[in-house]
Amino acid sequence: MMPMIYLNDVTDNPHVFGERHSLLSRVDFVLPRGRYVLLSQHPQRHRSLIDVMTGLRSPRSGRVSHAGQVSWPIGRQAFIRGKASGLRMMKLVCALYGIEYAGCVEFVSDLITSPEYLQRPMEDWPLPMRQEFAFALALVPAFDVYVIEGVIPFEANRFSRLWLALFEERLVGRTLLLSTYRQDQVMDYCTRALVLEEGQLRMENDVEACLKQFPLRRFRVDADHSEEHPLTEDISGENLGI
Amino acid sequence: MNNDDRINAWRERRAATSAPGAGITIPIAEAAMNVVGDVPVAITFIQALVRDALASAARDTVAERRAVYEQIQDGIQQGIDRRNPPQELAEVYRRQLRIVVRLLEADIRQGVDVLATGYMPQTLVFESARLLTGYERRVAQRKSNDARAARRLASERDEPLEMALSPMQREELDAFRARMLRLHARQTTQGESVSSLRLGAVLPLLGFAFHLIHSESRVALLWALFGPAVLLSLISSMYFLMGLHYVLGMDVPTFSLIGATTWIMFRQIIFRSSTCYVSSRSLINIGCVTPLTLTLVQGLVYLIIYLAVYAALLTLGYSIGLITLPYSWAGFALFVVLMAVGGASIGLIFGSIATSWPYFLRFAAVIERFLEVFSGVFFVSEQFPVQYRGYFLWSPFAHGMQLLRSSYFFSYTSRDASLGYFLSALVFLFVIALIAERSARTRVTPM
Repeated sequence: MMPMIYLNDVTDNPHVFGERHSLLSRVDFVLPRGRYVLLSQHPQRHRSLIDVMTGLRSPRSGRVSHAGQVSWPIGRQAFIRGKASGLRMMKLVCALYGIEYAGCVEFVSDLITSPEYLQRPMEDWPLPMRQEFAFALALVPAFDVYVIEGVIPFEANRFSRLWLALFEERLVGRTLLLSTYRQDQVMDYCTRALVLEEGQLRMENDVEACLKQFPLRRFRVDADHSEEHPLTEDISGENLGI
Repeated sequence: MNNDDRINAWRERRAATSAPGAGITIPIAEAAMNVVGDVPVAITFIQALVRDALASAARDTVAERRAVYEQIQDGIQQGIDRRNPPQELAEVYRRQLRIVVRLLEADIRQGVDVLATGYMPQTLVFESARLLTGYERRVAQRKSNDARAARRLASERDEPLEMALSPMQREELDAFRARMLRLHARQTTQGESVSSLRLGAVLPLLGFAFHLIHSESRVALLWALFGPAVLLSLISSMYFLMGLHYVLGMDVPTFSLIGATTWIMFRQIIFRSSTCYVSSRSLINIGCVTPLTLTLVQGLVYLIIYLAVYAALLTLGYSIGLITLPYSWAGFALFVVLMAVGGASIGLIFGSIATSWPYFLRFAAVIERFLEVFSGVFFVSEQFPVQYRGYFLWSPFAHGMQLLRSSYFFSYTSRDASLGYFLSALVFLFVIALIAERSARTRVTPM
């Protein structure tokens, strides 16, 4: 498989929540193309690792390089904030990535639920609008590696359905690096695990086994799904015998 | 066939078999088998089936009734085997029979005539509703599980999953797909390295920075005129109070304007770029935008703003006869730009220090004031006795300001200022700034 991210003798020990941690220790690693979930015993350090792997922050020593364009961490609030309007931010992204601005505006404003907000400062937007904008904008540049930090849209609404359908097509033949607390999304989208343990990275093929070893933060909806409803238990098994 | 049709058909068959001389009886199991369909039947139908079966068979003992119930159960099972309904629907049929049998048997044992017209167990409707709610949940869960299995299979095969969309959404999706492909096809940076993207990021970021300044306040740019005007007035007043109208051949208002505007630009660049390096961390989530680029862009923004301020003040001052125009426009512009480079370098150094010691930026203003005194803002070194000039000429910015004034005024040429010293100091500062930035870069975390 085609390698996408190279880490060459990378050492990093960033401050995470006020404490210095050894994140990576002389790591030589090649991430081939594929769909990965990022797992470790310390999910709070995933953000720092993503920063290094995507080239947003230089490691303390060593070199990180990419084959192809890597997305910004989709799902992070990141630059969807401040006094700039959505239109202005689209203009910036288009200029940075060499994309046709008018087409981008047309695409994003038709995809999101409330395009009227695009003219207003992003700091005034409600949270769902920010999330929709962040995900819609991520489809505009042609990235080779998609990094998602947080939750992939899953609500039963028009935006989520259309975004997911487009993202599904976009993802084929490309790389996904997912850092989330939603176990269902990990199982749905990831075929391999990228495990960070004791300052080293390794790949694992059995995602389910890795999830048992490195459980994600339990989310309420996941908890609801994992428990059978009492009524459905009632109508199954030996209870039905006469 | 819906439930009503099924009930009617059953009643017709029952009427036919019970009619005198009909001579044909449908076995209980066969009747139960016909209950099974594609959707759950009403529980009252199951109840009617059981009551009819009891009515037509011996029912005095528990064993006799059990035999009837077992016949019905077998019939339902045969129906399930024949029609092969979904698992959860088969469970519903079995469970409905179980509920009916349990309630009827309880009433029979209490001596209730369950075959009487209008008989209905008290909790039958409630339990049926509860059962159907569970069934609906189960169906929804099965659909969800099927969708999830399809999703996972698509991921394993690296294929796009066919989403369940309405016809209208499918049309929309086709349109969005076409637009997305068009955008990607026209993307000019595909295949370009990050470093080339970073070089190309300066101009877009410059436009964005001006947009932000404009968004913050519509009078922000006008305010930029106010600072130099105040300092210009202050310096001019000082000289006028001393009765001086010319300093070494330079007219005091223009002399003050050069010093005030250049220095305010210099300090703004220091403050803005150092703060930007530490705290403007949202945009660096975009891979081709680095803290260094943002800092340099911030310096460029304030250079452009103060060049515009210069233009405005010179135009205004010249039109009222207060200010003289530059002797060498190119030299004047060059030294203003070089002072801005010095400011950006210091800003980068301050910002780098602030990544590990944020409180340091509090000292930035003190350091800037100190530099202001020794950097030829209020006077030039030639105004001092020779033995004191060394106290001022250590500052490269004093050299820069005097060279700036030399290029501006025909009547003044600085004897003390050294272009070599000034340029060497700038290069040295810039290299130190880059080294500091490189060491601080690991601490600048995207926000």
